[in-house]
This record gives sequence, structure tokens and C-alpha cells, in this order.
Amino acid sequence: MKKKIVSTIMAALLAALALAGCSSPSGGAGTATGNGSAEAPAGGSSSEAATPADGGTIIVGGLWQTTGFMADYEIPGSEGFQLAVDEINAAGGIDGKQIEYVFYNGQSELDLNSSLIAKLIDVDGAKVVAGLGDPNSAIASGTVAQSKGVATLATSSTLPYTQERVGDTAFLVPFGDNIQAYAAAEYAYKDLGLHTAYVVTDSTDEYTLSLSKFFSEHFTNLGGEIIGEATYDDNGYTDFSPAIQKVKALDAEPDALFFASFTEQGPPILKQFRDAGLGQPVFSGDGLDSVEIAEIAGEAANNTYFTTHVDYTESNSKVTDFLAAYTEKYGAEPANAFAALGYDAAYLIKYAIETNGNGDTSAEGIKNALDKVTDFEGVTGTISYANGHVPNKTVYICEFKDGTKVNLLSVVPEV
Amino acid sequence: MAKALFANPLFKFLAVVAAPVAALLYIYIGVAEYYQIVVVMFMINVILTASLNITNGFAGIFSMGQAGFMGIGAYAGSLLTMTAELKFSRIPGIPAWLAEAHLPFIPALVAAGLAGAAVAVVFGFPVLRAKGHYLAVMTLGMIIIIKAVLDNNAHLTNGAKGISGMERFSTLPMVFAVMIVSLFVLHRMTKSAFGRSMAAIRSDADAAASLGINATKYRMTAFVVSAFFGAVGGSLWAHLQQTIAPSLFYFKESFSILEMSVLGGMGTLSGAFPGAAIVTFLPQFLANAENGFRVFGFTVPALNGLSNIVMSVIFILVIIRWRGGVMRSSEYIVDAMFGRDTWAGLLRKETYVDFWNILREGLFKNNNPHRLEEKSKQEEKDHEKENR
Repeated sequence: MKKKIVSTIMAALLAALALAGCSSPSGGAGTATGNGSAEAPAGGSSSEAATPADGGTIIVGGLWQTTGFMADYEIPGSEGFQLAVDEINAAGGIDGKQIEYVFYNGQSELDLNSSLIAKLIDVDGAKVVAGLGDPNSAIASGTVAQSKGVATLATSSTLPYTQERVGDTAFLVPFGDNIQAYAAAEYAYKDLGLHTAYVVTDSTDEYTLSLSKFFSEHFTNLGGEIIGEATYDDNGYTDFSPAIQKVKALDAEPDALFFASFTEQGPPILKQFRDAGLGQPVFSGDGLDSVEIAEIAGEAANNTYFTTHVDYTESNSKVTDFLAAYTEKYGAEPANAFAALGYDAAYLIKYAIETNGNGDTSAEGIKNALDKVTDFEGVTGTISYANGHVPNKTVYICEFKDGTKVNLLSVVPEV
Repeated sequence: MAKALFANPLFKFLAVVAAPVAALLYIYIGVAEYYQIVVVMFMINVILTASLNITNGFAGIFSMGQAGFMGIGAYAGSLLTMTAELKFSRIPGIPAWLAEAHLPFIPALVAAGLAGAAVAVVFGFPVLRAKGHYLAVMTLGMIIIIKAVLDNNAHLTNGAKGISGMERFSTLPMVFAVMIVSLFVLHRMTKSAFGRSMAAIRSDADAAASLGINATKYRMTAFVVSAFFGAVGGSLWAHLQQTIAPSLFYFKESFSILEMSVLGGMGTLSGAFPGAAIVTFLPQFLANAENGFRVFGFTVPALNGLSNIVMSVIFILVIIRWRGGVMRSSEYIVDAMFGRDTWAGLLRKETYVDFWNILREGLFKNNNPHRLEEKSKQEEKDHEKENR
């Protein structure tokens, strides 16, 4: 009897395995016919002639990490994107075509992302994909999209050399880490007159490593001195005493601290440094952009400066309209700037197609249209892809003050 | 009826060889690349799971460190297949000898396996001294060490930033071939004197030692072989994803391989198939669960993380339903694939006659019960003998 059950299951599994191969293509084929032959790029454009005539739709993919370590950034991003898609569709779509939005959760896992982006493109027929998660996942899934000639808009990866690694279909909505770290270095050195800095880096991620590398580089170029460095190498790290001991062992305390960290480490690292009597100004990148850090760490978060993508207190109508719409839809203000980046990504697609697309909504057409984008005005600033696919955007410098986030100034960096 | 059918060589051939190969061929030529990627991921997972089963199931070494070997294989393989030019640009400070080292994919794959095996030898000495939980915890320490080494030798590995830009060598035919060869080698090993000795050590190491079996040697061999194939799997993974970083070969990945092993059945190579199938295919099907869905008339609202929850529930149900894994201790799939019984049986006329009779009985209830029953009993005995 036992054997029978085992064998039956086995057979069922085999059948499922076989079916996984056989049944799914029928679903896929349905979509595939819509965009001509998915494999041949030439076929894609030839079938486009039919699309504008019937009004039609534009299939847009979203690959957001709504769980896992990127969820802090990508849930707001996904919400912002969804909001913009709804608005665009309600207002008549892009060039009269409705957006058909398909969204998957990549779970902050690289292999899931790189396969799901293939699903978005091959099966669902997405012509452009937004989201993509952390830099490594964005590179892996971007590479898949590149091989299929589909443009990707990364909203949370700020890796400046994404285009170099992936190819010409990779676009960044935010600025690169070099720009934000340079802005932080300039603010620390020039505006606050701080001349020595100690750098603490989460050594598990491309983002944090690049951030501290660019900060150190620029701070030194300006004439400052990096008097020491410490790293921690676990995303779940909560004990920063080794780094604190290293700072305390220095002959002279540094004027400033630079933390290249993710949101999760924000409260513990700030609290532990402050408790140890290290009250220096702390600088960081957009990884620390979260009001929650100020709420949790309280006073310990004071005197902390970070760079980010948007100033929600600006009276600019783009920002106020976005805030009102977001708050209405989700019942609370966005937790960080990534909501605005997601929102901008959708409007950027619309802007590119309407301005430069000439009615071509094939994957190749959208990619070329994005390539020509200059002066797109979004919530997070102005985007141009004229000099590469990492926009040179305004950097906003913020400060935590008694449990809140205060916007100090905006910098338009020179590259 | 079913027993007789499952024992029939023609059925084995059709179900385990012909149908899957036909499905793979169809996926390879007939459908979008996405399906190929998922199937390649599945086959890589089969290799990784089968390699872990050698230690965890066959040798009784409960290792949780397979991702460490996977990482070693991924890095070794990638460093060998990348061109010198690419290595110089992606890994600042790479020594010239390593940059110049370049191998075609298959030799690089073997080299990656050997690198994993070499690392296993180094770790084997301390780790295999322990038993049970202690050993398991030590293998966790092992992945921490491997990750720290990969993170902190930036001149060889580009550190935590990882490497990208490897060529996509892990195509469907390539990974299929590697999977078949790996399973064949592992299958022969488990059926050999080596496999029997491992089983003896697993059930009672002292008794085995009294029979002259050198437990240390066999445990070490199992650990090293497992690491070899784990590293091969890692190298295939790297050449599929084209992006690697030390953090990708850490606890999460290790537990994911362990999950597949436990779900499928640790004590058998065949368990790798259902185990890898569940863990690979489920997330793909559930990817749009976040948008909300309807099941049996109930509407499940859109909720972030829903796919993870659904997946966990399914895992728990599978474990409750099939304690000991889906395959338990049955080696049906791999035996049917490589067993002489299948292939020799195809040359016998009776195979076809029996197959037809079984089918006819099943389809038309046209009973000749006596003959079939006897036959099935006999075949069950044969089968059991083989399993033992």
C-alpha cells in the first residue's frame, strides 16, 4: 500500500513535470501572439503596425521586492508606481493606449528576479520593466532583459555603473551613489567645516560599499582626511561595538562619521554610537532615508544627515499633488523617497513614449524613446538620459531632528 | 495493477526517460526562454539536492553548509571562464596569473568541482570529528568562514560587490547533460560497496567499524564527493545568473537546498526531483499571488508577502502528508533511469505484452485477474529486492 502511494505520487509528479512544460506554453502563446514572435526582435516591430490602430494597450512589467531585505524601499516604490499607473490610465493612458500592468514579487532573491523578469517579458509580453531591487539583482535581471532588448527602469538600485555592467537597456530613475556620496562629502567638508571622518560600511552589499568608496574618494579630494574605516558583514547585524571600539582607540576623535548602511541598521547603529559618547555629525546615503529611524532612535538620531531623492515639504505642485494622491490612496504619507521614484518611473515611461516614441510602443521603440529623454520633470527632480543612463539629479540633504525628518537643502551636483 | 504497471520496464522508460526528455525537447525548441530558465534552475537544484543527499541521507552527515561549496564552485568556475580582459576590468587588483587562467566551460566546471572538493578536505578534518547537531552547527560555521574569505579577498573575488558578466553557458542541453552525468555517478556510488559501507556506517558506526569498515575514510569521501557536485551546481548557477556575490551563497541558499532535500526525501537521490520541483516551481506559480487571487470561491486580497505565506503553508502540508519526504526511501526515479532492468527490459517481448495487458485491464476492466496478480506479486518482489 505504502509503495502504491509513493508510486502514485511519483507518477503525479512526473506528470506535473511534463505538464509544466506542455501546459504553460499554451498560456504563453496567447500573449506571445500579441507581440509577434517574441524571439525575433525584427518580428516585434513589424507586428506593431497593428497595435496603434485598435488603441490597444501597452504591457508594462513591475518587478518589486515586496518581501525580503529590499522591502523597505520597494514596497513604497511599488505603491508609487501603481498609483501613477492608475492615474495615467484614468487620464486616458499613454498616447491613447491603456497600460496593462503586470507585477511580480521578486522576494529580494536574485534567482527569482532573473527568472521572473523573463516571465514578464516572454509570457506576459512586457515592453518595459520597472523596479528590480538591489544592485546585484538589478544586474542579473537587467542582463536577462538586455538579451531580450527590453528596457529596465531601476528605482532602488543606485549603482552608477549599472549601464556599463548590463548594457544599453538599463536605466536608473534615481541618481547614482557617486553623486549622493559626493554631495554628502561636500556638505560635510564645505558647509559644516568637518575635516576628518570615520567610515563604517556594511560590507555585504554593492550599494553600501560603493557609497563609502565614493564618499571617501570625494572627501579626500576636497582636502579632508579619512582617519579610519570599519566594516560589519551581516545584513542582520545589530552589535556595532567593534566599530565603536576602533573609533575610540583613535588618537583624536573624528569630526564626522559616515555610515553606509541600510534602514534596518539605522536605529541600532545610531543609538550605540551615541550611547558610547560619540556625538559627531553622522552622514549617510538614501539607505537611511526613513522617518522610522528618527522615530525609533529618538534623540540618538539627532545630528544625522543623509542624502535622498526628494523633498516632500517642497511647495512645488508636482510634489504636493503626488503627496495628496498617495496619502489618499494608501492612507499615510510615503515612508521614504522611493515611493516618489516609483511614481516617476511610470510617468517617465509615459513621457518618453509621448515625446520621443512616434507611436512606436514596441520594446525597442520604448527603449529608444527612453534613450532620448531630456528634461523630464518628475517629483524627484529632472531626468535626462543624454549623458548616460544614470541621471544627474538634484540631491536633497536631510537631517533627523527629534523624531522627525527635516529637509535642509538641495544640491545640483556637477559631474 | 498500479504496482505491476510501475514495475514494467516500458512504463519506466516512458515515464522517467521518454516523457521528460520529450518535454525538455519541447521546452528547448518550442516555447519562450522563460520556461527554459526555470527548467534549468530546476535541474541545477536537482544536482545540488542530490549532492546534499549523499552526505545528509546516505552518509548520515547532516550538513547545512552546501551553499558554501556552491559559492566556491561559482567563484572558481566564473574566474576560469571569464576572459582576462573582463577580469581585469571587473576585479581590480586581480593577480595576472589568475586573470590569464582561462578554460572552456566544461573543464572549468570540473575545476570548480575540484575546488569545492579541496575545500571540503580542509573543512572535513575538523567538521567530521563531530556528530549530529554538533556537526550541523559546524557546517554552519563553515559557510560563515567561506563567505568571510570571499568577502575579504577582493583582489580575487571583488569582495562583497560580486562579479558579473560571465557568459551564459548554462543552457538547457548543457545542464541536462551535467545533471544526468552527476546523477549517474552518484547512483553508481550509492549502489557500490562504497554506498553499502556508507549505509552501514549511518546505521551503526561501531558495528561497521567492527566489520573492518574505515568510517573516517568513508565519511570523508562522502563529504568530498558531495562538495564536488555542490560546487559543480554552484558553477552552473553562476553561469545561469551571470551575477554572483558572497551573500548569495549564505544561510538562505543553504537552507533552500536543505528544504529541497527534506521535502523530497533525504535518503534517496530520486528525492531530489520532487524536492527541487516544489522549491523551484512553486515560487514561479505564486509570483502573482501578491495581487490577490480566488481559490474555491474565496477571494484572497492583495497582500505583500502573500506568496511566501502560501509557499510556507504548502511546505508544511507536504511535510505532514509525506513524513520522510515525498520519495521516502524509494529510489524509483533514478533506478528507472539508469537501472539495467529498464533498458534490458525494453529488449524483452514480455515487457510489451505485459504493458498491453496491464493497460487493457486498467482501461477495459477486462480481467484476467489471476495471471496479473501473480505477475505483480512476483514483480513487487523483484522490485523490493532491487531497492534493498
